[in-house]
Amino acid sequence: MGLLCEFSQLNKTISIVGMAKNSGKTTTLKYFIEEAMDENIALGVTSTGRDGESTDLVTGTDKPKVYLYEGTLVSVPTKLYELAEAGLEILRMTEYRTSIGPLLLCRVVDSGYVQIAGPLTTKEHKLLCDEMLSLGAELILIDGAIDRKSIAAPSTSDGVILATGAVLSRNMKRVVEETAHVVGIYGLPVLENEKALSLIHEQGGNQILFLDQEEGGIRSRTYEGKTGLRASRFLDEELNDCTRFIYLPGALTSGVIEDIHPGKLKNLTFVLKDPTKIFIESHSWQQWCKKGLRVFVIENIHVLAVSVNPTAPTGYAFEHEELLASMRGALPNLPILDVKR
Amino acid sequence: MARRLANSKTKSQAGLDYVISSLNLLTPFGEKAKKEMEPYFPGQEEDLRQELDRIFLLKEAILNHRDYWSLVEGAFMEMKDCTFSITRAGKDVLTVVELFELKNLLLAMEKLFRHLEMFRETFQQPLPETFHLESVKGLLKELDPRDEGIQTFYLYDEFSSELKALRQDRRLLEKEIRLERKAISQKLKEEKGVTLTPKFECVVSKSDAALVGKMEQIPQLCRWEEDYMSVTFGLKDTEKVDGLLLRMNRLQESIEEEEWKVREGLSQKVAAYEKLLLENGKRIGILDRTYAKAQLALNRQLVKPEILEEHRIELKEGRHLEVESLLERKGKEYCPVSFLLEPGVTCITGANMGGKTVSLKLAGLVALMTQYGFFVPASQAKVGLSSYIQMLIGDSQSLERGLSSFGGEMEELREALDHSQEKTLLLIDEIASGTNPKEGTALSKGLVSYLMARPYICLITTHFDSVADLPEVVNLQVIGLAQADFERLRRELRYANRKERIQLVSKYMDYRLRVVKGSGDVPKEAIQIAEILGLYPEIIQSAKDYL
Repeated sequence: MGLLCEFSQLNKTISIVGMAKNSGKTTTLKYFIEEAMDENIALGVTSTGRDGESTDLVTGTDKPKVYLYEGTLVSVPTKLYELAEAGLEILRMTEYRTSIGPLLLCRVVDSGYVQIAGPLTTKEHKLLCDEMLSLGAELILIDGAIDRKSIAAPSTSDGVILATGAVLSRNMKRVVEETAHVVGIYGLPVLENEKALSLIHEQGGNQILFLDQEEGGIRSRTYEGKTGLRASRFLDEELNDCTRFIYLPGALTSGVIEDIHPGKLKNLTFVLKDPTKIFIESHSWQQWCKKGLRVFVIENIHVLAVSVNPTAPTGYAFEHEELLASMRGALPNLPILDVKR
Repeated sequence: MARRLANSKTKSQAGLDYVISSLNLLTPFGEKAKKEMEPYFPGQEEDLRQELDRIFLLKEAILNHRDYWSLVEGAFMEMKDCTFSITRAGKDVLTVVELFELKNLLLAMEKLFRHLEMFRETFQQPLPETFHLESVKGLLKELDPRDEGIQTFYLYDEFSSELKALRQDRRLLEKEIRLERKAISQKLKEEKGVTLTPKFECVVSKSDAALVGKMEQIPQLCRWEEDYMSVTFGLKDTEKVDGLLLRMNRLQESIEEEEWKVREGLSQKVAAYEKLLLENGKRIGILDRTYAKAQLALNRQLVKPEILEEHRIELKEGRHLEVESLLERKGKEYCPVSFLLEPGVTCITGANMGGKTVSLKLAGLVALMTQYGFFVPASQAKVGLSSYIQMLIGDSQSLERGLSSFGGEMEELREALDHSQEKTLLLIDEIASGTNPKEGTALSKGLVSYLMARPYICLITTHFDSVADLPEVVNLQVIGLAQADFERLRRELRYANRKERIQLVSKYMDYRLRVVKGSGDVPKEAIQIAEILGLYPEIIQSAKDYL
């Protein structure tokens, strides 16, 4: 059984997310489209932004269109419909707008190249995916938008394939480290304390919240002051011996943690909405963890596999096997693919 | 240039804009019909009556068969304006997306056509000529060769046997090319032990110079890509594959040409229906607009006005819709007002805060709504059409033009009088109140004498007693606080705060109008109201002494 077939048992929607621009995201997408065809999986293909354009709008590097096979469902903006080489049966004109016209929901009736685009908001994205599933797609592949890891908010898909590669750094060790770091924080444990969870949900999740262990259970205190990066200086004052959790609706940075007395860190657990709220690079993260930093998330991101691209568009490249081997060493439990093979 | 019934300021101040914006149109054709809405002028009474009858018919139909009309609404909501594509079809070739949208419009039109047919048959009720649609079945069949009746569209094989054959050929060729390449790839694997990816590629590290050398020796392979770490080898196309690829290219060209021909043919068929489609669109627009008017009449309890031949406006229990909706939001009820306006001058006099201006606006609103073919907010209304309606109200101050409020008012009055003609309706609020009472009264009297000699209907609100006293002027007086229970009012006032005081005034105020014969006093309620609103007792007492 192929990898994708295995994934599709548990995941209905899979996003392909790049660690950086040109980390081989589109190549990865194409790889899985091919595999889906070999495995006879009815596929839906969409994107979280305009993608699949023939040249990459940001860096000007080559970005070929995606070849889709008969029966695949795909979303195409009106203005790109005529440019598609595949034969596309228009099923419905959706109300989702893009800068290049409203999106058409199409079925490929004659295989060929297509330029894909998807809805711009998470909510519309969800609706489109649901519609594709109801039209018979067994699996939806989503080309994640540009490169920002932060856009891969968990709610957009059931699972994620992380595309990484030489483009991150000329130093292979760093590429592996950064990738492992992202996989690590994506998989942070989910907060399971039910009382704490319900207290956070009660507050709507948009306020800083202190959860204190008191006699008779956990109590929540909201923090009335300003939220945001600057607020961290006041966090320390608000913490007391009973505080077990602190819920931050915003970003977690080194700055936030630095402002808290190291002694208090030991008994404390940070709770975040999802892992994309963490803006700490791998070295600092490891140091913080040694000092006792503990982070839980409300929702984590399920990384299914990592794909590596050993060449960078600026001209340098790594030894394929070496990169694969060291990536496998760092992430022993995940399938690692070289999409250029 | 089209005739103008009223300027935009009058329409907005009277509340017509509010009414038009509360029309809930469901189709782009209806939106267009709304924008193109023109008033009915004297001489067009019969046309107006027919329009009102159509609204009446739909109103009754909605009341009796709500379920049926929700089907119609469903068809309405699927409509998209394709006018641009339809007019373009005659000169140009439509795109696939345009044809898709047209097909959907045709499906919705056909659905609506069938619903209207059903209405005629099931309820044995004829629909007015204006709403009759033509069936578009013929054209729909052209765009739906599989006769599936669903919204999807593609240049299906069924459009052209030629296209079908060409596409078949392409698929076979594609397969042939793939098989040919696969065969070579398989042979390489067996003979040389080289495995290619499904895309017939193979990446070799440069550090393995021996392998690179070996690969270069294989005649079936060639270098495709290379960076300083590795070389990508790809399958070299054989003569046979090259030949197939060339055929494929030619085939692709023919397919595109054939697709263009299919689109061209379809466009011409659309063009043949241009007149019918545009006419259908227009009629759907009018149906949608009339339907919206009927819905409005139902939702806001509007009645059909009786259209008179003579110039006269008679209103029983009229309500100003915009004010009514404001009150409703505060949970209060509108106090309906009745009046009769005939050529000559009618004055509205009475207490401050007595709703004089709202009643003036109501007169304008009813006249305008009638002439724009709406039902009106009253329990009964009889309206003779005006050829010109102008309202002078509020602050005409214009800093830009260097006019004070008095100056602005005088200029606007001059403009209104310039435009006035037979069957004019003039609505004037507190003329000359911005200057000294002596001259103000004189000016007002002068204006009233001028207007008395003209065949206009004039409604004027004023505080100046002697204006309403002029012979032949009809004096409508706000009943006001005259019949209020002052004892109770005083008791309630004792504990009221500022906001409650204002509410008390409206609670005890009777906004209705009554005709006062002869030289009825203009009621002096200003001091009383000032007192209710909490002005200092010493000022009130002193004012009473001066009086």
